[in-house]
Amino acid sequence: MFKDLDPILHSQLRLAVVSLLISVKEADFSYLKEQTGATAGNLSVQVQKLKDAGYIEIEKTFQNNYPKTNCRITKNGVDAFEKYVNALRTYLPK
Amino acid sequence: MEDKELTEIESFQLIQDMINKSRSSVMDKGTWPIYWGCTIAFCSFFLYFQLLFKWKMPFNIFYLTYIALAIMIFVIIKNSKHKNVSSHSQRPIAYTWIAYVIAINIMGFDPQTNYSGISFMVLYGIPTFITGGIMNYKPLILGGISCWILAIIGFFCNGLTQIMLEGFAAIAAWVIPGLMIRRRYLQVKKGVHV
Repeated sequence: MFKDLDPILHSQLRLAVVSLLISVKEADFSYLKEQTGATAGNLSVQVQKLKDAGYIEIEKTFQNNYPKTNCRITKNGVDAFEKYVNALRTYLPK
Repeated sequence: MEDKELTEIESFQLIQDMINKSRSSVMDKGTWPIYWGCTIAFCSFFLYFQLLFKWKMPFNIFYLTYIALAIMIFVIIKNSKHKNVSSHSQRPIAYTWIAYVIAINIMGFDPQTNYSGISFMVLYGIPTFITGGIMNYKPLILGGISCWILAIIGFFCNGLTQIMLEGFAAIAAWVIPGLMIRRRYLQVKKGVHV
């Protein structure tokens, strides 16, 4: 039986961001931009959607007088990612 | 990358690619184990031959480790300015090695005791073993154990041979695992699943 896929994660850029954050403690916005190849504007919108869903936390700081945005995955985010991967498995041919 | 919907296969592929990317970003590159393994091995073997052939040296060859430490601190500070991702294991590993550097320097400057290669090998093994445990990386765990085995072998050797054993301990604990870490890092960077 097919399980429903979380619509928040079932989008290319949001899934990429969560997959990047799942195995690190935290990553800044420029790292996510570099690794996903997304534009700053699009990434910013998708990161905000993940934050609104409670899947990631965002911390804004300053480093060498430059603003720095750190993102880290939350417990909810980890649980949602695990559920998403388990649901995906039901769609794959056995 | 756009914000498009994915097929299930594409989703799996994307997850795999991104996890590989983030793993290679925070993975140890093996640089520092190789760097320190070579430094300590060089100093140990040099001191062994210096004492064996009675070479005159104006300073203790192990003072080179302070230059090596200064270079490492400089590079780490320089790189930290460009660091934009961090792993969960970096902090405990850093504290383990800071504790080791402090401990080994206190021991090295103790005027009451004579130089003991055994004590140093025992000490080399501790942070190596712990780091291997944190990273869940067997070559480092085995490297730490090798230091302790070599320390036990040192019980049956004279002081000069113990210095040579220290060189082998550095190779077993840091150079060999460091080269293996480097190889693993390059494989992950290329996208090969390891």
